Amino acid sequence: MLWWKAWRETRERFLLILLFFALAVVFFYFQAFRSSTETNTLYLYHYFYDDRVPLLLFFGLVPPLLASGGLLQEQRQGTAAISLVLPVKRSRLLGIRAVVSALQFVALCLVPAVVIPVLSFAVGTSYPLSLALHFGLLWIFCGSSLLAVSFLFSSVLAGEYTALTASVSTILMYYYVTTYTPSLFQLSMASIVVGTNTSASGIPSNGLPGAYPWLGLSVIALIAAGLFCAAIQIARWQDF
Amino acid sequence: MLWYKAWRESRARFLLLVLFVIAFWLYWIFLWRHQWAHLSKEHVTLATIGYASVFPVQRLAILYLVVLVPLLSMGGLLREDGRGTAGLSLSIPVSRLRQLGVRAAVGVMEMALLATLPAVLVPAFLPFVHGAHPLPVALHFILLWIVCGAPVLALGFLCSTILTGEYTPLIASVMAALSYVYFTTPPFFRPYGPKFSLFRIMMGMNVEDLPFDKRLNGLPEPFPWITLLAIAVVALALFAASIQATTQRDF
Repeated sequence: MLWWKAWRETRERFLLILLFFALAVVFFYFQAFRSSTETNTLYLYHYFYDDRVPLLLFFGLVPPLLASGGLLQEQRQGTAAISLVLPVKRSRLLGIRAVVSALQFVALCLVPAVVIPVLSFAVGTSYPLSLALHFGLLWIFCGSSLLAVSFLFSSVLAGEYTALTASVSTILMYYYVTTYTPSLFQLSMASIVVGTNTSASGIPSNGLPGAYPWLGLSVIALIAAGLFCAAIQIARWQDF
Repeated sequence: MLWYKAWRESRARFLLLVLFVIAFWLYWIFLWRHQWAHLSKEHVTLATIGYASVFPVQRLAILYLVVLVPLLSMGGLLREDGRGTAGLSLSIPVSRLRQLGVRAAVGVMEMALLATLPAVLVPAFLPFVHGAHPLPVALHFILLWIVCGAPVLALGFLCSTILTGEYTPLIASVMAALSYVYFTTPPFFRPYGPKFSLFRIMMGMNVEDLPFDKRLNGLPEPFPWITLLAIAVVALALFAASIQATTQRDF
């Protein structure tokens, strides 16, 4: 039931984002296909995985939108008591909500990984599924930490759009400060997301990403897990 | 009282956005100054008119249209209906038109203040990094940003009056703004692009289709008064549609 509750609360926004994102991927695919003068892999890389502005908007907006909600917001609506009277622990209540948000985010990250190979097959070219999934996995890992930050804000800030605004602002500032300050570049996930972190030149010459940066991805996953736990712990201490 | 109510409802997110814009600009002015030095060697005037010529302003312009303004436009009686407080608001002895008009006016004022911030911060803080920026040029861009943000604010306002759900109106307005910004940049709308692109108008590139560093030494083009008037009319029409939708709705 808790899974169904979490799904019903986030269903509308998830499906709307999914629809828009899928249409955008299809549209951009045919844009890339029409204007290509490079190899299939390289021009699709530049269109989908290397364009910083769309990626910034995706990672800056989607995690906060999926993670918004929670007991503080329900308290403002007057329904927190109904949720809390259920015979389950708060950690379970929030943990399920976090998992549902994470699964929704994973689904969105895998949209290009599914659509691009299918469209390539449909138009008579090819794009390796393994390559598409490689980028999908990078997006999932990097986005999980942003989702966790947004989840934390939704556990701390009441107000329907306050937590969302704080999450979006934090993610955007984090991106700009870590990407464009040389001394802080090690803290940036931008090069990991575009798959260039292990490339010597920083630019893939053939559209292929570098090897998985397992240490970096592990650190990101640990940070995400820590932030999720912090959010749940804060909610446990709150008095509704 | 209605003004205070509208202010209290949007205060938190507005102040957060103000903090973000201030932090964004202070970061670019103080920590990105090595780029200013590079630019000033190539284009002296360009560096001093750096407000609209450099990369960070273009990024902020996109964020302003697609993220900041839609966030400010959210709220309204439909949201209150979901929380059960619409009856309280509607029991106040004022017309719905007045209620919504006040909320729209507060949204416009908040948007105008966000648009003004870069124009204030850049001339104020650039001297600290041995740069300079003419105030008239900064003021030029305030009007462009306010007028170009108005239809986006109005669109968000309309979405919040017709779409239920907590975040559905925000997602819909962000998607619409993003799609519009994308489709009105070349090559889709060439040769009409500059005149219909809110982004290009905000950057002062409304007439000629030249890269910014090749035009007029970095100065913005003259105000496109007809275009600005058309944009304002569209914004007013969207506001009117949302007021009409709310007036007819049964809460």
